[in-house]
Amino acid sequence: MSTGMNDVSTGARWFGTGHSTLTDPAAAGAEAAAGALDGRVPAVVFVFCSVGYQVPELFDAVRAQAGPDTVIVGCTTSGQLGDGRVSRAGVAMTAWGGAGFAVRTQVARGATGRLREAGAQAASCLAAVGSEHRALLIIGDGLTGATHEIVRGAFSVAGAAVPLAGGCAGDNLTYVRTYQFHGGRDGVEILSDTVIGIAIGSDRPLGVGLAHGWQKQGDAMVVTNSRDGRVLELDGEPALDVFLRRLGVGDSALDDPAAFRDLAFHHPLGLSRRSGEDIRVIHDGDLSDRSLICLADVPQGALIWMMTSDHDSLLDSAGEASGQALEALGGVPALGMLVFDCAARWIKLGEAGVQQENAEIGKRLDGVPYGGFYTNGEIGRVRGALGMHHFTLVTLALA
Amino acid sequence: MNHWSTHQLTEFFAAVCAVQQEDRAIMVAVEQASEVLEAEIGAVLRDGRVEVAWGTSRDQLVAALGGEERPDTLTLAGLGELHVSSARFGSGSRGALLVARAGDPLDPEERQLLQAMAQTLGLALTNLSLLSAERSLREDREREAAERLALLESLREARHDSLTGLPTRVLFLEMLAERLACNTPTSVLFVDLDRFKAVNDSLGHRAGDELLGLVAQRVRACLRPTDTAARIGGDEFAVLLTDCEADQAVPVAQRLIDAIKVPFAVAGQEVFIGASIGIAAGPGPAPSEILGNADVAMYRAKTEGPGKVVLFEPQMHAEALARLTLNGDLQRALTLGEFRLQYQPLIDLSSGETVGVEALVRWQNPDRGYVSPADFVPMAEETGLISDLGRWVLNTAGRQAAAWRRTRPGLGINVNVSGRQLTDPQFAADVERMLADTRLPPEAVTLELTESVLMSDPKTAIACLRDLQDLGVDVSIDDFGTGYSSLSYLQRLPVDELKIDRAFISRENPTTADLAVIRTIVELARTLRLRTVIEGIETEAQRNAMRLLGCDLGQGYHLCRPVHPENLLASLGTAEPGRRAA
Repeated sequence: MSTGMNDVSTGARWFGTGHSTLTDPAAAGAEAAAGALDGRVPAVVFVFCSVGYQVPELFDAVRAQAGPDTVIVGCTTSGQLGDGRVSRAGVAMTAWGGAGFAVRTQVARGATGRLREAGAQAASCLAAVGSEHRALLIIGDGLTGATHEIVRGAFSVAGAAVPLAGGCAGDNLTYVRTYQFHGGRDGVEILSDTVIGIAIGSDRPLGVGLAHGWQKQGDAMVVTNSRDGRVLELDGEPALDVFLRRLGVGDSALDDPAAFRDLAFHHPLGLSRRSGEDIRVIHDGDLSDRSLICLADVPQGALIWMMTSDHDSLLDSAGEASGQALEALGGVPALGMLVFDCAARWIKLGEAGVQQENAEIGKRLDGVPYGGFYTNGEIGRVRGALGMHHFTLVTLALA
Repeated sequence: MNHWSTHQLTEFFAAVCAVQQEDRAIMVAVEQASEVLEAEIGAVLRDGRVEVAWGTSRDQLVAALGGEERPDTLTLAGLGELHVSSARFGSGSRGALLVARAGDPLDPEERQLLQAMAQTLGLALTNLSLLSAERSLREDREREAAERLALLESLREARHDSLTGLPTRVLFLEMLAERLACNTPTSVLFVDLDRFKAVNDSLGHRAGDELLGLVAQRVRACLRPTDTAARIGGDEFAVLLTDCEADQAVPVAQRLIDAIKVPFAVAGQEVFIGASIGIAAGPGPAPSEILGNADVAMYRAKTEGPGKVVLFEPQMHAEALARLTLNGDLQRALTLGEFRLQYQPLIDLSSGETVGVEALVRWQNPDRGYVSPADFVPMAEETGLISDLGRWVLNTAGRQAAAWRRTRPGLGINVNVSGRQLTDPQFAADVERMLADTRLPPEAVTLELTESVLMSDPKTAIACLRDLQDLGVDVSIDDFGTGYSSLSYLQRLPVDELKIDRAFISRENPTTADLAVIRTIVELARTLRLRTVIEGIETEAQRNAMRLLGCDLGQGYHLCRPVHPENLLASLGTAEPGRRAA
């Protein structure tokens, strides 16, 4: 367990982003840090990079410009955005500082097998932030499975009054190993299997938004048998059989796992919610028990729909999520925004689509800086008690 | 549109009933109800009290409810106004499942679901309460059964030793009583293992336990089927020989000793131990008295050396009592300052000069008068008092020698060290501290250890002697020739001096054979570059003979008796001593 801290900082409030696609980690880190910090001492710096950059040299430049209380956090990704650009391989840094901000962190290590406890542990940093407006950011390891338990644990500590946002680290969709970063001026730890809680405090409003752009398709199905993220039966039938039948394909669709994943990306499941749907991306099918495998929970007994979308709806959702976060600021001008965008949306949108999505966000923010990463699962909770999402874009706006 | 299916109620029931504790069941219910109904807040109230809150703290919810159980709305900081819905559950233990949601209030179907969840929770809690009572009853029964079993086990263990499978003292005495009731001659052997502690200390308790098991097998193998062996405690065994007079028991005892002498294979090593046996017989005395008599006889056997068999005689009780009293007096003697040191010079046989003195401990008890070291030193060893006594001797002798060396700078001091002291981890530090305190040069100090101490466990002795050697003090083997020194070990022991036992010159005029043995030892010492001291020189003839044989130093009444420290310098004259010739 470790903590980072930044008590209420001073000076003019600012929000900056930087981005680099240089291949040398030290040079890339320096370029991104220069863009994000621009000579200012940050309260917090978020470092999002593609796998391969997770070496100490990446942080040299940002550490050199950090103050004694600066918090440096982040993770590896399946793509990152910042400084108005999107990259698959690169480094994006987002930072803010100035008067009225407070940041505290807590790292829960060895999260696998105790995700709920780790979520609660990570959220415990909130207790040290007494600001009028608070939010809890969570960065998890995208490969721990059952990530909804992290959110349950965090909610048990944060309660309903504190919005949750964040995402799970990625490794360019290879699902081998992800890394999380945590530290400060004296050094940055490069970790795996952790949950990092980042308590954000501000004397001005914080706004969280989330949207996905998917619609229900066909009749609802009852999840008659499931275990965490593994859906065994839909309407009493093997879930894989139902899914393949609805798509009009046979078992051969699973011959090539990558092709099946690509196919399933386009047809996620949707859990009906009062405030919309929680999307569940299907990552695999298991011929042995004819189940569907999702990376977040699909509760037994729930109603579920096959979901469909189109290019424009997905693009619109980026603007919608951004707009929700801005609106939640209650009319106070936005300073900047963090973005947690699902890596599966990248696949669905394609390279050109991602650029369009980025433009959509930029257009909606109208010059307000933003940065973030493409995640292996998004965390966003404003209403209700649930907050684990897939195929969704979650935003956190600061005023 | 519904966002839930009736299946979720089944799941809710399954989840709530899956836990066995009431508080966990309530927590699961509150979480699930909040999640399914997408409420920010969930709670269970019982008897008007908020028992569990989800999404906020209990205190905040209590304050927001303001004493009402079913308000339409409540307001929480950061969440604003929330619509409240609640549903009652239970008949015996009444409560309410409550959710509070921002935005829209629960629609009728959602309220229906909440009602069903509450009733499900009530049912689950009733079941849990029944199950809990049943479980508690079952646990009580299981505990009682376990206690009964433990009692039976302890009774069995009280009569049978779990390690060896042999009867314990309790059962042994019962069996002895049975035999005595038949009025047949019955002998009891009390067997105590020699050197068992050394095995336990060096190889560990597990090896010690293994050894006890093997000893038990050997003891049993030496007996007739009608005889009984028992483990009395620690390394003590007892044997019941039926139809057997005391004198007939002696060969059996000897057979046991011989069997135990044969090395045991324990922990991958050959282990050598022995046994001392005391014998007492009945009928006559009570069973426990016979066993006690055999114990007293065994104690006497122990004092006579390892591997002895002793028949009980009535006066041994008096001796045992005397030993107990002696022990008590001994414990007090150190505190009361009853010990004194005398010093006996060591004389260079070729020059006649005094090169050193040996410190000899004396005990003058107000009631007993002078007590021989032969009586109290073994007891001090046995009780462990020897460590304190030895430390006192070392420091006192060291201080005295330092004082003498101001006028006789070359005078050395010999101090006797017991086996227990040698293996005391603090001993080398004690010696080092004495040297520092007295500023004696280490080479002025010789520590005397008996041959039997060194040879009982040569490997440990070598390790301990190395520590002393590192300090620079000399080490002498006392009473050399009476034990069974292995020559190979003698070569490896880091010693500087051999003190030839007085037994070799016990005759006023030593015989050729006596002289041959001493010559051999002296030559051996020369080869090993060791100094030789001959003890017990009582006559001029002995002194001359020893000088001619090449002994370096001599000690004995003919040369100088042990003297009180205040008289030593006067008895030595003024000749300047010159220590050490190897």
